[in-house]
Amino acid sequence: MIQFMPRTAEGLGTSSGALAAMTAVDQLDFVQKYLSPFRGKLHSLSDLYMAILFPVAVAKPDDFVLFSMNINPIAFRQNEGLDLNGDGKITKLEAASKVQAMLTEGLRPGNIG
Amino acid sequence: MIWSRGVLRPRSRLLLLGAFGLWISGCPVLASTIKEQRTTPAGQLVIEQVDEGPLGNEFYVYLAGKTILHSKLGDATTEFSAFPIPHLFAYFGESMNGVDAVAVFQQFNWGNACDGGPVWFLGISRDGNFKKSNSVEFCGPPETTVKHGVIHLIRSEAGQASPPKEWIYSGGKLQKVKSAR
Repeated sequence: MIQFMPRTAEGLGTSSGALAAMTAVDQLDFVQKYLSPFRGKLHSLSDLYMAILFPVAVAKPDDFVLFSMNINPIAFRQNEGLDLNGDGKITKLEAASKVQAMLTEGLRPGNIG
Repeated sequence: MIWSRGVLRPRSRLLLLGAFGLWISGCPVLASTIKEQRTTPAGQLVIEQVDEGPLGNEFYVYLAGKTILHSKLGDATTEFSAFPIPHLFAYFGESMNGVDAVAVFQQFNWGNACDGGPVWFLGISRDGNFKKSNSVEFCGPPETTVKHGVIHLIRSEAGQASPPKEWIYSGGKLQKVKSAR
């Protein structure tokens, strides 16, 4: 559901394979366990997404740079699709914008329920 | 309170005293968990999680009780604050490069942007001396091999056409080599 990395799944007492075989509802128990350390710290959709993508960015400003072509090029290239303006930097705002767009679409009349 | 695997490091003893102080004052106590450990020629190499929570975001690495690394998520005064979780990725127990053993660590965080972060080496001498290397950026699993008594670290980038990059561990440092395999 939130694409746990193998070690993360292991740390939660399960495995990537086991999670893949679960229903979305069953996976929610592990999502809850994963997010429990962030209780009280997630005040926006972007913070929620950062908890899943790159936890150090939780509570950071929107212009916080997650990955930069100059500083951490390997991580940048692995996540290059999030660099919306093509400036060689992935900010928290850029990373969260796709999730925000999905939420906006999901909340449109006719898409709820 | 949770103690796992029964080994109390020096900081753990302090935590135990602190925890006792908190217990008698009625406050919650700190939990500390040994996540990984390995016997080396210089003594025990230990990775300890010192915060609570199912996964953990603050860790120490000790060698024979001496602090090698302190990492805490988001705390820029510590090392690898974006990738605070150390993992003993590989261990070479034979003498090479002037040390008696070499431990290879990879730093992680729990997010899904990268399946593993920076890699660093620890040279260990029998007399208790140690030397940490510089780190190399990774966003995925490393590969290590030994050729002619030298440890090579190899980084292949998923989805990239460029050839793998390679470093050798020499003189306590990771040095990039010009051409990879």
